Amino acid sequence: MGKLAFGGRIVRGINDKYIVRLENVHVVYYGETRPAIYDISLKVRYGEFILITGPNGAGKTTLLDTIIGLLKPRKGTIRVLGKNIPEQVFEVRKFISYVPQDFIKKPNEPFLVKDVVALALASFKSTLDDFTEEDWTRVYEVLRLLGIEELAYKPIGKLSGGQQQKVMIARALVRRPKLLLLDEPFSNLDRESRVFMAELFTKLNKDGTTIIMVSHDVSVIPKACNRIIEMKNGKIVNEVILH
Amino acid sequence: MIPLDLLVLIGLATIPSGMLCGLSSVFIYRLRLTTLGFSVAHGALAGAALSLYLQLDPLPLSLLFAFLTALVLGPIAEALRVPIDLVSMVIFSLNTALALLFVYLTPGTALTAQVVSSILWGSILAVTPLYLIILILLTVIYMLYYYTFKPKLLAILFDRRLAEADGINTKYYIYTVIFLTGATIVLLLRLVGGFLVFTLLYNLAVTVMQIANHIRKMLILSPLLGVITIYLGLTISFYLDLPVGVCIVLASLMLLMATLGYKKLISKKVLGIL
Repeated sequence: MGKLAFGGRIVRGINDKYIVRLENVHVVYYGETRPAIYDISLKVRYGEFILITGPNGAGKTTLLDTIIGLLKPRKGTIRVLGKNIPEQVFEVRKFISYVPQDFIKKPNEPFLVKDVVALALASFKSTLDDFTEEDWTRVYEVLRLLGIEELAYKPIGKLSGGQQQKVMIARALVRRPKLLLLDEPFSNLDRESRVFMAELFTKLNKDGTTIIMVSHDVSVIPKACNRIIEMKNGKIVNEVILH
Repeated sequence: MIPLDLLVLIGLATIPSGMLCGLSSVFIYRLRLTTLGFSVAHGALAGAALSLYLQLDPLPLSLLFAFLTALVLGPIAEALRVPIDLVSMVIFSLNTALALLFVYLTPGTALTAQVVSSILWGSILAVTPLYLIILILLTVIYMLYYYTFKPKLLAILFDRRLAEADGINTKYYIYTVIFLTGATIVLLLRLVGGFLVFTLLYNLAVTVMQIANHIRKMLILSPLLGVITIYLGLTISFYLDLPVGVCIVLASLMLLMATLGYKKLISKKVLGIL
């Protein structure tokens, strides 16, 4: 594995030792009455690596979407990087990378792999800015790291599910996030790739990136993982501290 | 016989209208705004019908209805949390109902009135110096908007949800695109007509998809294809003395068939059949 240039400094929110703090959070989907997640309280310290597991429909993805402000809580408070979510969400999203679940694009998708990865940097661009040489260097560095450099000029929709998953992870890493949210990052990957990714996430975490990973598959647990949280029916039902 | 100065105006109008068509078609396709044309065009129709009922000049009200339609689509979709395309169809039905109601209430033969007819079918006489200036202005605004916010717009065109998660406040960019595309439709209505303007936009989107596998290429080729289509349509209309809107749409279909044929030829060459 190549040398990682990611992770970076740990920037703490004012008077806040937690990078993510949820208190009594309820999320109800529009048009539904039953909460998708119910009374969730969770504190994640800077530099931690947390695995959230549980069966389908447990509320794992809803929890990640709520942390990044894609879903608004019905009740409760959320603070991420010292900011209130969803009110100040656009102030913190630049420091977060998110790998969504089962992100598969159709074969006629008109975006090349290198562009998909580079577009993750779009939110850092000011008006009239285009991608710079430095951006492209970063893009190719990440593609090389994940062993998919030769796919750079291929349309993303023409790749296999596993290759697309790697592109999505590359997309997340190119942003050099302080908080990495991974939703089922091992789906579509073979055993060898899963082990490789687990080692990569461990290295990223050691370099200072806080990671919250959702996975129903616990056959490969990254060594750096500090805690395993189990969810069921929208609630946290169990918590195991590893180290 | 068409006067020379009108011919020159028409020739010049081909360039901005084609570019607007091309750009809009890619945005419509990527942002899934395929029903936008229906709702905006029928907004213009409702405005024209109301004007006839009130015995006013149809143009201001038809433009107002069409602009309002483009303006409210995004916020309504956001408030109701449903796709913009669906809201667009709801507003399309409202605009159609209003148009029919005003036509029904208007005494006489409203649908045959010349102005309503020109909104439905388009007219070559719509091209005036002022119309040309507005077309050029809108083209410049659209291009400037795209090049000013290119990385963010491309990120939204790739995947709106991911762009939102990355920290791009997507709704303002999308509302602006809807408004600019709506304005394009409003302007093209006068040339191509309400029945055909959306067909033209979709045809261009499908055509450009055949020859470009890359969004940047699409955004360069689609305005070019738009200019070719409108120029070809106007030429056919001029020589065969047929309605301009019909000819432009037929030209877009001819171009689509040509690109499909070209693609088939290339794939056969690749497979070694030829």
